[in-house]
Amino acid sequence: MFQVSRKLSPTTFAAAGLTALIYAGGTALPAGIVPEQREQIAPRGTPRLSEQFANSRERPWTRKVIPIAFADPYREMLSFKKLVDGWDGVGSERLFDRSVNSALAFLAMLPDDVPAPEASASGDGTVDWFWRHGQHAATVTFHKNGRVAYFVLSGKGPEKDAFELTNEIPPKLVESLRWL
Amino acid sequence: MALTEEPASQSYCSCEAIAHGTLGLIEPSEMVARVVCDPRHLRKDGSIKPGVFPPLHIAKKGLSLMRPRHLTCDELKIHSNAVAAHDDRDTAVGVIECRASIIRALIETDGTRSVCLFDDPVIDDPVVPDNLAHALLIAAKEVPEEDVTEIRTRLVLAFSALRRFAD
Repeated sequence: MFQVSRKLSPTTFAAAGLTALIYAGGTALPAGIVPEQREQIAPRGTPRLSEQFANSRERPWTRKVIPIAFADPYREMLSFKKLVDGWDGVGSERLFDRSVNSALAFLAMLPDDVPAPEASASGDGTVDWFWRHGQHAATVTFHKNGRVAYFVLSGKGPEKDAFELTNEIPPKLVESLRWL
Repeated sequence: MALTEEPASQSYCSCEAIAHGTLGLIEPSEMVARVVCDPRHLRKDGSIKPGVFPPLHIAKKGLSLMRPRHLTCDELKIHSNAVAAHDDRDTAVGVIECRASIIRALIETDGTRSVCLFDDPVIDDPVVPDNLAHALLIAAKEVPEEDVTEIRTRLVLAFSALRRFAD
């Protein structure tokens, strides 16, 4: 169920990443978090699989998990779900679940050679991943309608576009982020 | 889109050329301030994240700003806290600032302005107190999502680090 598949929705993808965190030891982390897409043999003492996992064709330790460097931003983004209306002053709104879930799914798909982003939330309910190094910066914005918009100002020059998050991050966005 | 101190930044858009209140036009050399209501908008080094500039506000509603030149420090703090929340226990963290000419220097590739910045006095608002030193920043035209993200990112780079209010 939690195997990362090209057919999974962003929400399920995010849930898979969260499960990986929990499986790895909850907030203490990061000992059990493994590099992306690496298969591991279940260590001794691994809890028995639930019926759900046992019936799955894939074992939980073969699923895709987030890199260690992304654990803090993952947790910060997840914590935004607790925000309530008014959190950012008069007229501000709680964050859209779909925006946060898309952002978490995006992080789970991000290659581990890209710098770790910072989580950012807006009073209009949207969230962003943000990178900044001096005058180089990048913002990836997750809207409630599922659209993802980005702008990268890197050593390679400016790059921007918008897309629907499905099973892949646009390669030109990933490449731009590597230039930050 | 680019950020440049070209002549375009020294001129007014038609919507900026008429003062809406008694304090007059926002001059190119004038500083404008954005209230930071929540510490989650801050990075570890005190600089800001793009969340302090909500996309919807840039694109449609208008981003609320203040004109510190026309406010004492105490007035700026009072108005900021009023924006932060109704509850007296919730107070603003501080403000970030930027010169008007830098904001107006945000231009499209065809040389037209990306955003407009004009005075917008608050009078008889049901929620916040009157504030003649209120201003708005808004996209100069309807733009796609990625352009709004670019504007927000460039504003993050243009605005100062947080200036905290003294206790």
